[in-house]
Amino acid sequence: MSAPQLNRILYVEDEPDIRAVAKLALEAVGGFTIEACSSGQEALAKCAGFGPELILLDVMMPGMDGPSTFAALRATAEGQAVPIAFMTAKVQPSEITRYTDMGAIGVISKPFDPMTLADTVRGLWTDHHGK
Amino acid sequence: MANDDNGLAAKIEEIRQMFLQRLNDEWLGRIGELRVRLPLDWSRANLDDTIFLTHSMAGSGATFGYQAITDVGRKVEVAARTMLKEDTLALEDARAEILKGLEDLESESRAAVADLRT
Repeated sequence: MSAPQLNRILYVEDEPDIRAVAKLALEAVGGFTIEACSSGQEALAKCAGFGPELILLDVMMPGMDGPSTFAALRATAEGQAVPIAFMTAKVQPSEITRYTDMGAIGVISKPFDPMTLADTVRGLWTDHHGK
Repeated sequence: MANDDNGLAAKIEEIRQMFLQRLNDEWLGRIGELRVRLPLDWSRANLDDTIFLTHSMAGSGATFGYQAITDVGRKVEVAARTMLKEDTLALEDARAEILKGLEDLESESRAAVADLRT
């Protein structure tokens, strides 16, 4: 089964420069449409209106962190079924297991190369739909 | 960062300058504060601040071409997390490792800031 085309990504990251470079890379290199949010609260507010096909969530954010945002999105009608991947600078195997056990489709490690980030995201998407 | 068909490299360079500006204006100051605060108070709160800062720096340095910031930041983050997990806040060797790491992180950050456009 081939994966449906991925277009719309909701991206949540509190670091402004990382958010800017990832948005640029995903749009310019990957051709995706990105709605970038600086917090979990903003993501919750924008999820319904944007209608993402995939959500990328930073793990370590002040206030509402990635796992808390994940749980909050899963509790909404709009976010309950959208595939979610985490992005984190901590990539111990036990953490990857923890996040996938929560229901995430994968974990993208930081720091990332802006030129290959879109391929990484597309690979996760394809793997998810190949299952 | 090749493949500059649409000014992509120029846009990435603009964002790299944002990163360097934040390194200069915010992170260097926070590293300096931690180097003063930690020897006076090896509290969990101060170690949490250390973990949060070094995690951010480790997660962004190499994206903008500063692998050493990622490497040193990660080393300090791991040392601070280990100190909390194993409750070794009173161990001199563990403390010295974190302070040396912060010193190295400050040094690497100052070297990176030299790339900031004036």
